[in-house]
Amino acid sequence: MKSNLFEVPQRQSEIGILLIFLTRIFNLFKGFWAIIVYLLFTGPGEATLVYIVLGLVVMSVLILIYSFVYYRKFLFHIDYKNQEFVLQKGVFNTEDIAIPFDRIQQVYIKRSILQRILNVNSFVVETAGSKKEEIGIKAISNEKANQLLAILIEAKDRHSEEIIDPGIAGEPTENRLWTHELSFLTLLKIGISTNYLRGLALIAAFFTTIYNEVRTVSEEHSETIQKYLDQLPGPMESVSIFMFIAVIVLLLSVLITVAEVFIKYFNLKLTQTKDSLELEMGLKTNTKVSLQPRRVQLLQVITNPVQKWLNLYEVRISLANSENELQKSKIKIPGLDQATVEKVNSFLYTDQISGFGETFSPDKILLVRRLIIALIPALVSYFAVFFVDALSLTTWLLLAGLYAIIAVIWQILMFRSLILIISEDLVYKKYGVWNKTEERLEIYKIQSISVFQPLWYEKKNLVNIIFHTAGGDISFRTVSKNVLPYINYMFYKIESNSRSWM
Amino acid sequence: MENFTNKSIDIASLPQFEEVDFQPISKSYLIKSNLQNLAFLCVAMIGWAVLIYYDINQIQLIILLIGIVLYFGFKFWNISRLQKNYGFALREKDILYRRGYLVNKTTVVPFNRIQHASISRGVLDKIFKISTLKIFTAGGSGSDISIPGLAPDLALRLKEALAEKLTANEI
Repeated sequence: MKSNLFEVPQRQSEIGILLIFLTRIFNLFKGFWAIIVYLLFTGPGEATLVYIVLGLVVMSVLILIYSFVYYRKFLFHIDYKNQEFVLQKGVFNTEDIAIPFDRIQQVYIKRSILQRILNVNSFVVETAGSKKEEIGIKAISNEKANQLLAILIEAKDRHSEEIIDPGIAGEPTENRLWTHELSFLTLLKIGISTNYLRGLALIAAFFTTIYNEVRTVSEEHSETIQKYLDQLPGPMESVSIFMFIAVIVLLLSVLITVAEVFIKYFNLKLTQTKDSLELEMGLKTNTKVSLQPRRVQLLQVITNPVQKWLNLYEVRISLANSENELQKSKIKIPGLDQATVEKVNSFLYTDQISGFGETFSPDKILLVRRLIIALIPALVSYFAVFFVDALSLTTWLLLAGLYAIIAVIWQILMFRSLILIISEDLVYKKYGVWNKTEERLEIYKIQSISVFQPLWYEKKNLVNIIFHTAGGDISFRTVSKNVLPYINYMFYKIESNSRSWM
Repeated sequence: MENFTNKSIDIASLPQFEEVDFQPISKSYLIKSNLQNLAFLCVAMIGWAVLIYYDINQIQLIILLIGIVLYFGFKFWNISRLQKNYGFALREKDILYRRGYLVNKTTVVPFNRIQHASISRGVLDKIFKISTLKIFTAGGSGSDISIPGLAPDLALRLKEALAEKLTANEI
């Protein structure tokens, strides 16, 4: 290091006091604007006015003192020995933050209007997963900001050069370049097969409203209705009218979803290049994403029986984006056939030599718990019998019974579908009754693992596990403690591997 | 089959995180938590007392009082339980943090996944001479840990240790 600039803790620009003061005042006004407007409109008496002004003066003085103390306590420096950027701040709550150089994702300078007037800058340091502007200096002079920026960028680059990803440097995977495009027909298939549930819900809603309407009307004008019904051609015809309406609603909902799918995924094109998957799609807004294997944190493959039959799989990918804060939103790629899914898989996960694969299922207690939770609404709805006249005991029994049967079957199927597979390099979680989902993540991309044990699981030797990744969490409940050796294995994997996870 | 036998030896011989001895946190944290709870109880009682002046029937008031007493009673009991379960442990390559009584939760963060660490102290912390060590990862809020009730110099030493490991781990 040629110069040891910023080695001694230093404060912001002195003008920063003013900036802090003005921001606080502004925030205060933002918080109390309603009261201020109220007072202005009611026209306060002289005495109250005096109090208000006095209050404001006292408040301003307090804020000024606060700003001054805040300024005095706000210190930043570079620790060259530990290779960190250090920030200390806070009046009542003090915070002492240290950012190692090699964790810095981004450093930048920016200015708001107020900062421009005062001729100071915001200096922001971002790490992976840090919230926006969590680590930053609000008022730093131009000169200092640029110096600090240069030092941190240099330090950051020096560190990132040291880490050469062994995954990329390793054996070149067979680069069979390929392209997958969604045809018009496939888009149509996706549109029809994805959202029939929404269509169904729409129809259900439609029918219940109609039913309710008819009921209320029929109660009020039962005679006229009777007359009207007599005029109708007969029960069969009225049923057919309903069927007709239902079909139209269904068609409409399908049409809407198809249109949605077309707008979103029109011209979807997945291309494999040497070291990334390029995704392009969209009619209105053209989305372009580059999927690099090491940026992929979590992968989901979703299908349902209808789509499986049509050979349609949806792949969802969570990425860690180094550019800005982590992109939590998942990238959805629908309409891939099984062969393509396999290709995507083998490209994203190069090392799939599965030495072992241990499968875990949840304990029965989970099913019991879920059943109880699912059945509570049925029991609670019993009270409706007392309060809603229209609901007789038999209808309640019928409805609740129907609900209970469906809920029980659904929960049993859901419980059966839940499995966790831990292999040498990957973790899989599979679940789903209708929409079958398979989630997978590479062990070395795990950020941390939490193991929960509620008091009442202790005897049964059960734990809940959450794997935290930069693309979201994967949790698995009520699994036997036999899983713990594999958790330890994961730590061994993470801690003995210097591969960069993004 | 070969792989299978290979694995079972390997995995069983790996260091087990559940066997680690946890270090407890400072007793002052117990006092702080109780004090905080007491303050909330006072606020709740004042709120309840204010209600007496309004036209609210006796039964509702009593039910409310029972609710308040039960809730804060549970809180006090839980705080004493929680205190015993707070613990942290530093291993060669990761940090473990355990908390929770009704639901005991242990989070293990490998050093090479830590993004940065910070020490924070509130007003009460300063009075009781304790601090909170916060460790941030890229895995979102569930993955971050904050260990309360550490003696300030211990917190500082832990942070320094983390910083050293952070830089030493890479390469």
